[in-house]
Amino acid sequence: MNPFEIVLMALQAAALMAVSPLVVGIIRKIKARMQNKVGASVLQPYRDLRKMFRKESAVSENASFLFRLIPYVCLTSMLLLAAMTPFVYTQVIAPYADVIAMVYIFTMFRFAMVLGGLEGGSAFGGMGSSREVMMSVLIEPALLISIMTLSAMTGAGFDLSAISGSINARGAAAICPALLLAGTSFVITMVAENTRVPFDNPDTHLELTMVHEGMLLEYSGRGLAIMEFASMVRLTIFMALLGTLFFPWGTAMAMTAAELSVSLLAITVKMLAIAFGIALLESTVAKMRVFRMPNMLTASFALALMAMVSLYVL
Amino acid sequence: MDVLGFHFQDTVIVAGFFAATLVPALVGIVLGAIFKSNKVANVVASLCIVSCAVSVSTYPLWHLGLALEYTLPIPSAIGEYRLAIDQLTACMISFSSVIFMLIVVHVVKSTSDSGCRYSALLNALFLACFSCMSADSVLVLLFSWELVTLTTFLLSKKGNNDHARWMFFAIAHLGGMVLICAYSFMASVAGTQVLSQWDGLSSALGHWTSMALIMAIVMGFGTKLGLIPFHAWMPDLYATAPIHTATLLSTVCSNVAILMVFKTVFSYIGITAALTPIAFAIVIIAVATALWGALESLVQREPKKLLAYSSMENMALVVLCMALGIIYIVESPALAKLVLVAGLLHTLNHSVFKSLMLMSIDTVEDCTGEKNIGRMGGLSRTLPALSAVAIIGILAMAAVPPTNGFVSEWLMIQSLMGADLESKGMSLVIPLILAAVGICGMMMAASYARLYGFIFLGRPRSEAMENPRPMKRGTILPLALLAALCLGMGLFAMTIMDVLAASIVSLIGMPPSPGYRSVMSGELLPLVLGTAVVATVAVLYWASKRGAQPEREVPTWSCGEDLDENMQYSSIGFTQPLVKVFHPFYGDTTVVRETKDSKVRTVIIEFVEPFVKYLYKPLGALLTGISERIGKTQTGNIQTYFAYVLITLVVTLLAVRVF
Repeated sequence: MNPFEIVLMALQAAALMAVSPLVVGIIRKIKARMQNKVGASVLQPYRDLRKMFRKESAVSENASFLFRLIPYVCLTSMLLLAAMTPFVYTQVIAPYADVIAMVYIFTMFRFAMVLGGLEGGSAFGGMGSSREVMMSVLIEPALLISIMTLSAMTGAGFDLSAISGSINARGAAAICPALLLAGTSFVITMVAENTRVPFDNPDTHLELTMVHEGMLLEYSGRGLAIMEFASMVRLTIFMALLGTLFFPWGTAMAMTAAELSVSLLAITVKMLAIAFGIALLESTVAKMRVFRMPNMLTASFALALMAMVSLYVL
Repeated sequence: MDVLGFHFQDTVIVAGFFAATLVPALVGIVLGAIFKSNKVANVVASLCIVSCAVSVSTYPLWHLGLALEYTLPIPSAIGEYRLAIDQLTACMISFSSVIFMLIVVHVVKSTSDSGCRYSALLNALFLACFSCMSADSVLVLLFSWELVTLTTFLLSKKGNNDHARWMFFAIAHLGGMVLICAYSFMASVAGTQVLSQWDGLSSALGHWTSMALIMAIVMGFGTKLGLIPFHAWMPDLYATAPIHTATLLSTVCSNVAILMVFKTVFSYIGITAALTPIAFAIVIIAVATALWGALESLVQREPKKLLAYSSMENMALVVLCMALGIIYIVESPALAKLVLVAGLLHTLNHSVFKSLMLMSIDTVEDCTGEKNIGRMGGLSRTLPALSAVAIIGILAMAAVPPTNGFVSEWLMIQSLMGADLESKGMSLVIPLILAAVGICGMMMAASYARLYGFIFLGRPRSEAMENPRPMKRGTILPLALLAALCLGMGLFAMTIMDVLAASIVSLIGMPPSPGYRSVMSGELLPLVLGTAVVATVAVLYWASKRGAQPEREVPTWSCGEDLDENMQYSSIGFTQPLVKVFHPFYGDTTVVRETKDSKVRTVIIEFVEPFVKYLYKPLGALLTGISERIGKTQTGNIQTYFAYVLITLVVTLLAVRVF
């Protein structure tokens, strides 16, 4: 590993985090356009974050030290994940964990947020946390199994880079029922895990159906900025995983200028396509009733299971 | 061997070690039986601590290369009372002794359970566990296992909890009976009662008998581990027994049971390819137990019952690992090593975080006098030290990196996915097991979030929570040490795994290579990951605090209303969505009681354990019915008995005549 490669890998992790507000901005812009609105600039999320970061934060008098620590725990887990997600280049900088640990780091994020929701002692936070754990019971296993399917399919072990590289190297021959089923399951997981429509509405604080925003209700100022930023990074990581793990074609496997520029182009196109897909989904589908969610999540779980079984049966 | 310049013979050191371990505990029993005063109780408990402290040195002594074998100087007509300690046993003894010691320290400091009788019984339990783990003859094994059951039964008396105690007693004895039969049978086949001479009995037993014996051993010890349907005693006993008894049952006694299952199945019986089918049966039982424990934990109202179901789930995962070990061992020894290491590591980790949590929860109940999680809340501001150690325990139980619980669950999934077996059947089973383990893990995480969130976070839900009594002095010390172990064992998990792997290799007699790491397809550096997590959080926190505006404390936002203690999410409501999703599994466990008072109407949702309702209650009623019918023949009238004698005589004579 030469120094240039390390710099590149560090850069891609930094880039992943840096573009995440932009990704959210783009999704919002596309949504606004679909609804015949002008919409705010794609840079608006950066401005919002900057504004919130500078504001004074008001903390509930019932909150303990944990409440003040949770935003940093959430951000840390996303930092760790960003460092191990292939984005432009297949190799990643973080050698400390594999895909199983990745799922557990997502759990760490979720667990911290659930506890944060219970801190204030309001009904909203508790409700958000309660719904979050209901969803997570079905989401996390689906996520685990769909990624495990890729590992079993490629025989590349649990190394994200190796899995991505292996599928990439096979080219179109890698497309098989297992990949498609696991990919579909992952898409549902992505939408649910990032609490987008139809599972949750990320734009509102008012609905009684909210999940994610309910847990964040007690945060304000700097804490809120960090929590929001961590959520944006989470969405971007999921999109990047979909683009580089399930459909990795185009991602650079070698350190040449040609491959890297193709890869940069490819990941931009992929991210835009996924953003468009999410915006389209959010503009056309209504939010589900809370107790309809498990049906959808079970479908995702079943798809992941079928993907894995299909590996052995077909 | 030379110690401090003096030369000792190995046998002298070994005898000294056993004497130093056993004698203080024995003295403790005698003292505790004679005296009654509280001062002596502390002396008795200290003797137990001394014994524990000495037995912590088991593994170091083994490591020095001493042959830890000893024959108890007790004359016997039916064989010698032999003790022998191999590497795995040494690991387990040393580790369990640490846990035992910390629990006894907590007993002394908390003074709620202390008393001469209790302390004496603790000594007896220590002796029983030590000799059971190190047993080298069937006699010692069965005798000390029985002693474990008896002492825990006696230790669990508190108030009027006879129902829970006798339930435990009956179920544990059912298991004990099965074990006595199994071990006596094996001894008769082996021709000796010295366990270390039983080497792969399965060839002599034939595979049908071996399979039946493996099942008997697993279920026999499983009565203590809470395998379905023998878990019925756990929730009630955990909730009503003195907490240290429950903690010892959940941790040290489970360690003993797991160790004995491992030794018996893999070493004494020995696994051959023909024995694989029984492993599938054990897998099904283990998965069902884990799922059941996870489901039931969601609806418990008492924190200790929740932890009882959590114990059941954790132990089921260990048994699952053992069963997978049986399946793998013939085709892929390296993978078997990996899965067995995962199981043993989880056993050790479980005993750390579960003892921490049970004792923390008891401290909460002790300080506030409240047992219902629905009336707790807000303790993190009034008992900050306790909430700090409890959060570490909760994170470990919920398998959040970088704690020890995370490492063992990671290893478990790693070993599940490492399976690249030829048999197609296995490839279909593995995804299902993976799914079950994943769902169980997340359901338990939901329960743990509820446990911490509704006890320590939020606003107080009752008067007692607002002004709890301060913790007793010094009780935080063992808890803090356990919390440190939770983190330390997470960070240095690789070292522990290496030791466990070496012990398993020597136990089963497998070739040391290929090592268990050769089949690990992922890489995990817990130390790097842990440091990364802690350092990043610290740096971010520090960096962000600089230049931040001072924060303002405000009341929780309440839409302009005044919040009373019930205007926050309730603990049962928290998991209600999950109960609704999985409602087919709960069946009619929900009982809604309504009290129609003139002014107040209360609706109480109760969850009953279906195994008690549909299995144990009818079984008990049946047995009572039969004995009542038999009882009717005992009229107490002398003529009736003459009639019985006459009838018996006639029938016997006729029978003799005919045959």
